[in-house]
Amino acid sequence: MNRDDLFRCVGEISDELILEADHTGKTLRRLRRTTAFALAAALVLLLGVSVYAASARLVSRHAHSRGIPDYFSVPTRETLLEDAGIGPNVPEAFSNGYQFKDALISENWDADADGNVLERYRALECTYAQDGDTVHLFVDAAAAGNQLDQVEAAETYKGCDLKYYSYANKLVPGNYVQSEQDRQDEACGKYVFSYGSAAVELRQVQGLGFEYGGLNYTLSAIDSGLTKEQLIQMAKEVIDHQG
Amino acid sequence: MDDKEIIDLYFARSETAITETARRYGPMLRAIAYGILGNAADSEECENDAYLAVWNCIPPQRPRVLPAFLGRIARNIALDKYAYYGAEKRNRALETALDELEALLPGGADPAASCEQAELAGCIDEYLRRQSRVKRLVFVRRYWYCDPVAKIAADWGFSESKVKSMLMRMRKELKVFLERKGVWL
Repeated sequence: MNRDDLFRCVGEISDELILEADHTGKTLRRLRRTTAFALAAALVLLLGVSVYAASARLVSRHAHSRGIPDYFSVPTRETLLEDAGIGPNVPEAFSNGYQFKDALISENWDADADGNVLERYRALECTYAQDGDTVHLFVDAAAAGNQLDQVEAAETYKGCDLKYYSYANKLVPGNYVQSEQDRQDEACGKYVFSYGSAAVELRQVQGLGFEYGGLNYTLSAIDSGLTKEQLIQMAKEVIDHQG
Repeated sequence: MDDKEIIDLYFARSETAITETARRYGPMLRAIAYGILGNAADSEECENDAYLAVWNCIPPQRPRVLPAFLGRIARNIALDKYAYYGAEKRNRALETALDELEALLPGGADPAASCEQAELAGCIDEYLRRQSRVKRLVFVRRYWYCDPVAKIAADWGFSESKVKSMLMRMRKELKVFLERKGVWL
């Protein structure tokens, strides 16, 4: 093999890696700007001034990702600090058999009622799979915390409150206009609406939120057979894994 | 028009498929070819050859990721064309990238120990997936897209020396990784 053959071999790497590096200039510049912002936000917090001033109330939370995994094996804490600015220890697997599948980093922002951005931050979303069933672990360092609605205290573990939630989720396209029935369903808590899907879909969501070591964690299972107790056990394993 | 619709046009043997491909991916294909050839006229010719090749490939093939599929075809066509360049026409930027990769090769080639292209590509793929996103992107931009070090440095806001040392460390790690995998080049 000579250097030309080797260069051709590099050309045969998988589609995902090629696609990931496409438009790199824009991606990289955005990542660096976000890092700078995160550092500034951290500094504000260190000074004891919340980024959530009394007049600014968080009413919406947004996330954007390319939908392509950034990691196909468990990323190290150092890697995550470099890529996302947060450093959780990500478990390889859970005792109930769910195994790490992949993970991606999303760009998130919280906004007030007028659409003003209150905070931008990056979040890690890990997917764990077992027999076709998946569980997602979200981690971020948003100053506003998990912001989960209709939660019930499930358990306290290592000084950390585990909060359980369950709801029916109606996914709709971004330009979807709610009917009167939709408004009634939302008002009475029958459905939580999420915007941005390709088509209207209904799904059952359950999960656990907790805050540990300065990071916000959410374990979320969609249309899953997992029980509340199993999710609690998984949350405990995440906490134990932080060392 | 999204990628699926473009692919459907190829399957319907509609020439609009090529128009749409050129509109959406023409600049990317020219950039890939230019990174290898360093010559605008030849890069344009290479882009047109790529459209013909894609027209002949789809169907029967149905690409899973259209831009990667197109880019790979353009890259290979450009490399074939480059192989016929005489010394006076060689692209110094590409030669530098090729020389960098040469460091992965042992001094004396052993044909009996050489591995299959697909096996080697798989190992490189695995190595890259174990790297941080930053390193992975820098490596792929340099050795797949043939971006000059200066451009990568500008995109990152890094110094060129930082990019060079990052790439050098990765090449060394990759060589060790391949040896541990039993892949001898």
